[in-house]
Amino acid sequence: MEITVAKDSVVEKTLQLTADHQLHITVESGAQLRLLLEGCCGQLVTEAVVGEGATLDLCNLDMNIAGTTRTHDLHILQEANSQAFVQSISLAAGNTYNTTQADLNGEGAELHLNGLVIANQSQRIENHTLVQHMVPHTTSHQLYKYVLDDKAVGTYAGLVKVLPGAHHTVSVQTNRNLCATREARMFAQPQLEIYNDDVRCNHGSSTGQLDESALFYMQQRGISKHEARLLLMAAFVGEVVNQIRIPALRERLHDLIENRFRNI
Amino acid sequence: MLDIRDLHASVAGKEILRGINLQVKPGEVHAIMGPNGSGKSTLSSVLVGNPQYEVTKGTVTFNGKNLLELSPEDRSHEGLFLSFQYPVEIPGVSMTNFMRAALNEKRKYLNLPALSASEFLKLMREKRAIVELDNKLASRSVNEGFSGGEKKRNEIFQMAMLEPKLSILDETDSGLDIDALRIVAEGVNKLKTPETSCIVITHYQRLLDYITPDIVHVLYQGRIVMTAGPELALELEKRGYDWIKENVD
Repeated sequence: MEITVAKDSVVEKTLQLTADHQLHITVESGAQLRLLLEGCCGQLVTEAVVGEGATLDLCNLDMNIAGTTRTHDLHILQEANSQAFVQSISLAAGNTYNTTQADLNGEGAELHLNGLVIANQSQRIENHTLVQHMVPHTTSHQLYKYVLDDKAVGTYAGLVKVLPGAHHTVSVQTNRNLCATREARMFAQPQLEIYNDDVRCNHGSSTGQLDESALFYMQQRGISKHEARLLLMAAFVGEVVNQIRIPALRERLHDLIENRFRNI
Repeated sequence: MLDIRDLHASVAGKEILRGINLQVKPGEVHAIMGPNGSGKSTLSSVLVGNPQYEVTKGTVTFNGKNLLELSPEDRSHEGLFLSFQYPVEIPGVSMTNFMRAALNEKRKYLNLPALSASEFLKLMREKRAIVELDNKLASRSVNEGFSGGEKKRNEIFQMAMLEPKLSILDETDSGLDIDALRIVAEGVNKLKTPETSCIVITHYQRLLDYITPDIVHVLYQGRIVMTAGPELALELEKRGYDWIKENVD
């Protein structure tokens, strides 16, 4: 399937696709598109070209059922002064392997690439990201957050490459993970390769447990330990949801997350 | 209301409380004073069921119930409240959601229906006024980025919302400037009824200038070594704790 948004056109409503296996998106210069890809299992390949001064909001929502696997290869090419807001949300059952590559190939290009994972039982969720800063004055922000329960295994392997000549690159790569049990495992590999001077790059990753003092504080106020855990976990991943620029989707995700934690 | 008998408790294998006896009746305000490390904060932590502390001996009865058998949340539902010395910041959990969860769980425990959204917000507004807590603070994450004074005011706001029978104020005066201290103390006094009681844990007399205790206890080396009227707090302010330590040692 191909979607092309013509030069300077604005698609006001959010397009919602039950994910197509091959998707080519072109947002021509000055155009704007908001797209929600939603679906269960299968192998997906999505290519998106975001033209000069264009804006793309792309949310990839896994709705896998238990026992299924979904792979999604996403390749984004950004031209000058373009903006891309991309989220990978995995909060259903099953296994997910996301590979995302973004090439910032025009000055002033700005990428916000976020991920949210809630997994339990023996689920396996992987996010591999490659962000390439190819020309001067490009910006990338990544925020990936995982909540792993039971024996779930998560992987975040993110590489940011600042290529020769791409001075004045700004890149922030953040990965935060909660393991709710001793059996849950997180493999985190934040990587930076910088072939250039005069750049500002931060990266960091941390994996921990729920804050015991916060849990007790809430219990003292009468909130059961179970409920307190839910509130803290929802708050933890809420940071990713709150950055989504489509209000209706934000609300729906908050509900989906609450239901997910409550096993509804 | 509260009956503590021969309470012993330890943390990480170290015995901190070594035989506490204390009875609090409805309407009474008790002050617990004492030098650093005497076990004041341990006592409040044990009463609210902090899992880091282990009770090794003794009994605590709260309104006829064995307090030590109850979970921390059920102790709260039964009407026990602790104003924390160091209130915890909870990023991402709004004060509104936090308070609604707390209040509705309590109402469920008491077999009362949940409050409607408008009833709840009206209650928040009323109670906020008691401690002059800004609406902006109420819409933020719990304690996140609050100043020391705002955190303590927020504790008393939560106390106002939950209407506890027994409130323990653990060094609520620490880190407060004189205006914040007055607002917090006035808040506590406004919430006082003939049926509710208060245990005020403090190092200093200055909080007791605002919240007048009926009875003052001195805690030292895990025991209550002296009990008297409010005049004891004034004497401690003047003479320090050394004369008490000498008597005990």
